[in-house]
Amino acid sequence: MTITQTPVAEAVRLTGARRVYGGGDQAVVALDDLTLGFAPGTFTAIMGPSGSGKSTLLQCAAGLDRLTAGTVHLGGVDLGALNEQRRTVLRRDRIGFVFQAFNLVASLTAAQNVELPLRLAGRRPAAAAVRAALAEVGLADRAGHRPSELSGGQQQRVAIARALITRPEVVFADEPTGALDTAASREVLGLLRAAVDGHGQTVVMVTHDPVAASYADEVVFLRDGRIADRLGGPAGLPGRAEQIAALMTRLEQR
Amino acid sequence: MTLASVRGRAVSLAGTFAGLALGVALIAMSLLVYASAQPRPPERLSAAPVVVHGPVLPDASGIGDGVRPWSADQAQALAERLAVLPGVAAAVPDRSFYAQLVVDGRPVGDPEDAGAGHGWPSAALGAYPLTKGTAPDADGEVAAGAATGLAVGDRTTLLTGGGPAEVTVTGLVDGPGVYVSEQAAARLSPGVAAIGLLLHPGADPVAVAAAARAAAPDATVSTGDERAALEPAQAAKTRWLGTQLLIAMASLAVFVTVFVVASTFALSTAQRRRELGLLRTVGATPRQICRMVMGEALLVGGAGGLAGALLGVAAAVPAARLLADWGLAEPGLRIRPEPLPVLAAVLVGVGVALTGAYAAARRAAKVPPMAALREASVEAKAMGLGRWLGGGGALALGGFLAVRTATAAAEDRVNSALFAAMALTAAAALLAPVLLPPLVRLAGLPLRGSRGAGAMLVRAETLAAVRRTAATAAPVIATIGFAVLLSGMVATMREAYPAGQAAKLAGLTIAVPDGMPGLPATAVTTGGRSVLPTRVYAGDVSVAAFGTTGGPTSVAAGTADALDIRVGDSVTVTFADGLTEQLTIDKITPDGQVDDDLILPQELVRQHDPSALAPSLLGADPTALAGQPGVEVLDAKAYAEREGAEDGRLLWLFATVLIALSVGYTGIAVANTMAMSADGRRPDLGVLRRAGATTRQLLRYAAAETLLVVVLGAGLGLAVTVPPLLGMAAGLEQEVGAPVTLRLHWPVTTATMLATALLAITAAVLATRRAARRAASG
Ligand SMILES: Nc1ncnc2c1ncn2[C@@H]1O[C@H](COP(=O)(O)OP(=O)(O)OP(=O)(O)O)[C@@H](O)[C@H]1O
Ligand SMILES: [Mg+2]
Repeated sequence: MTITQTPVAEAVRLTGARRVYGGGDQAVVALDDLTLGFAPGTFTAIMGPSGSGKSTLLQCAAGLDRLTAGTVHLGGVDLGALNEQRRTVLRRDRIGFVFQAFNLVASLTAAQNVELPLRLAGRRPAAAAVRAALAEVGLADRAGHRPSELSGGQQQRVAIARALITRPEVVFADEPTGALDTAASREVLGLLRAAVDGHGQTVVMVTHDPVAASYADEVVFLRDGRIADRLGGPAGLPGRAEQIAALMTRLEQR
Repeated sequence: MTLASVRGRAVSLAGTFAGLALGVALIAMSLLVYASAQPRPPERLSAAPVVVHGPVLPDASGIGDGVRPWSADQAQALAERLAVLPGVAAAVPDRSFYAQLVVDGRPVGDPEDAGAGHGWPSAALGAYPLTKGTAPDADGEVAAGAATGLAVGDRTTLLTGGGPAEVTVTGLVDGPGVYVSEQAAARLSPGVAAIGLLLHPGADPVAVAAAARAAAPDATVSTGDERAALEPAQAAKTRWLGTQLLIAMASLAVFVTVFVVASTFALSTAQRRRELGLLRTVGATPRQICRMVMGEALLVGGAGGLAGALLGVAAAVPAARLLADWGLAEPGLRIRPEPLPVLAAVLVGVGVALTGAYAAARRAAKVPPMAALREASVEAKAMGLGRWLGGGGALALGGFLAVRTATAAAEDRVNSALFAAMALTAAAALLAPVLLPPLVRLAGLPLRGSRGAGAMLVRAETLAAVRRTAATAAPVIATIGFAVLLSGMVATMREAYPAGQAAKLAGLTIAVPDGMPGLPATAVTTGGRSVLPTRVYAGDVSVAAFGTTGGPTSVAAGTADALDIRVGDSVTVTFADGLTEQLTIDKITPDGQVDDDLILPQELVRQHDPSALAPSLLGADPTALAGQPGVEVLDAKAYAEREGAEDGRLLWLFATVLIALSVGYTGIAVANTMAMSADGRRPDLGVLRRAGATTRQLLRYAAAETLLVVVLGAGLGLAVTVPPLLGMAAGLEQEVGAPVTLRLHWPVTTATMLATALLAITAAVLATRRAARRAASG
């Protein structure tokens, strides 16, 4: 007797994704016919050697960049079919984004940075909601401070509060802990984990750190713009940090 | 959001604000002075609440309107009819003509005023009382202003259009002007342009005016400010000159403000790519980004506009005084506090801010979200389609205007050259991203082998951020461009006119008036050639006419059009004495070739305008003129220089005002863009410091880079002035009929270049020092 698994509706899906930078002799294939989906309510880590196309994957999946070929579906909507204006609105409503650095608008306070997506959507941010979002990342007392008055870890937590305030379906994070020490990293990762467990959001995170990757449900390894390996997934628990590190080393040496 | 972003960029917006405030102040000031300088009723008619006069006819050239006079008989009949109207105490035919008294051998009074003489009855229209003696009642009697220093009973010489005559001062009057008997006035000016009505106490001017309209249906009846139609021709000319300067100032202010706003906004957009990208990733749509930048422009424009309005109102009073001192406004010009010009200036300021920011806003909206993710923001394509189109269009327009400058009429030439230079400056600024890189490479060639990091860094920085380099070079192009253009224009004209005159008149002796507005008949009849200007009225226009001996009767094309006449047609003209003649037109001359619209036989002018004065006498006989007061005999060269002196003075005045204005103004933009540019590179400075650069080295690199930009900008600025100046030289050559070479005014040119370089380097070094300190500390 065969068990037919009903296909899970995916939060994000890339099909035959290809992204080529430049042209002619200097063309670089950053994504090479890559097909990958992220199920709702999961935490996926993307790993791989430098230049393997991790950031490109994230940016294309989030609709920040366009594919050369292939499609991206976000909650069933084909991003390639939308114009810049509609793509932006969709991104605003359904996606949060956290980068490694330069996340905040320097002239705005922490609270103003957090309420920015709401204001851009034309909604008046409730002061309580903003306060709650900052409290959730442990920065309730820093609401009035500007980015230059915050530490790197604190800036990163403000960025996460901002990414989460609209309760987006998917949060993309590109090396969110890259510039942080162990303790600060742990806080940031805990926040992302909580978004998945507590609110059923989908998180896709690029990282170089096996310990960070071990917070995820699944780890996808990229090399030369293709999927080289996977750990965990819907069926199993994520591997432990040592196991992930060993796989990484193998991939880098090959 | 816009508010917050404005707050965050106070430094970069300060320059835009200052530029805008200054621009709006200039526009507000120009408009206020212009509005206040509108024609006013002459003081001379202050006691006549109602004035009945002939139709006010426009001049084809637009400089001054003219009131068509009645003949002596018509005026007399009309005055008799008006005198019996209820409420009217007296109807006084008012005559104005050339008259000047000689004191201690020299003519006294305004040497430009050809209308100071009146019949005695006119003194009542201004309620000028006789303070001593009796009114002039016969030939050889005169009442003089107390200010002349003459006393009752003095014998002196009276100069009129007919020549000098011995007179006795019979009375002194408390007011301006020279008064002769009514009969003498009727001989010097048979025509009457206006009849002033003196009213009984308590009579209502409005009722009297209505009655006058009924009694004289063909005449124009003016009360209150309407009497401004009777202002002296000299006042209209002065106002016209002043208006030219005000127009030039206001249009330069608009252009330079757009330019300053556009370049600072372009620079700030280029510098904010990462921040804009971040906003895009967080969900700002392109439209929202565009609106945000435009919102900034609106805020800065509004604030700058308000500050500028206050500044402009404050500056209007001293500006009016200055204009009056320069002879470009009536001495009594009082600034009226009118809200409309100020409001208009503020609106122009806001409009200008939005126009200037528009291109930058469009570009900001195109910043991709990815810009937030790149470590250092590398610029996208330097030249967009819009920039190519705008630059190409401005280049074509500038070229066209430069060519047109060569064929423009004399009075349009300066403005045409100015507009050509504006268009070419805009073209150079827009095309700078294409023009600069090859120039930078060229400038770098001799330094290729150098050991230090300086040459490499400067070259790389200017080339990697072509748009930023272009934005910083733009105000330099404008500064140098305007200074070179304006000073070059004046230098070229100052040389061309006297040279042309001297060549035409070589070998002749020329008699000119000294201390009076023109030469009287007695001087002209001693021999030699002269022309006699007067004003005639044909159809519905007032025409500047010129009496010559032995030429064809000809009319300028523009006037011929206005009158709808062709060669061979005959036309009825009314002369200054109110009588008419039939003239047959022999020839139609192209516009702009001669100053006057109608050329006719000199005997006709003499016959109908006894007060006409000749501006000069060519081939004069010095011995025959020896006894004449107020006549000077010169050779061709001295004459050409004397003639050129007044025009030259005005030209220098215009040029100095405009140069000071545009250079002071673009100076703000230069300092601002340099400071912004240094400030925006704080991260790079931090990297350089960590790589081992000393502060001193950083400052040296900043200075070198700034110097390079200034040199390149100055080169382009010089280049944009050449076509308009060549066009101008070609036009002048046509006009004066002598070879004219393009002249640059080197003292002004080099001084502007040095000042710009000094200002730019100071601003860049100070900003870099501040940025380097901050980069080091955080
Ligand atoms: N804008 C670009 N223009 C040209 N090539 C690019 C551009 N961005 C990325 N690339 C190239 O595409 C490939 C993938 O880049 P990507 O940034 O996705 O790598 P990554 O896996 O995120 O690397 P890292 O771990 O170093 O961040 C690389 O070879 C890179 O050089
Ligand atoms: Mg990356």
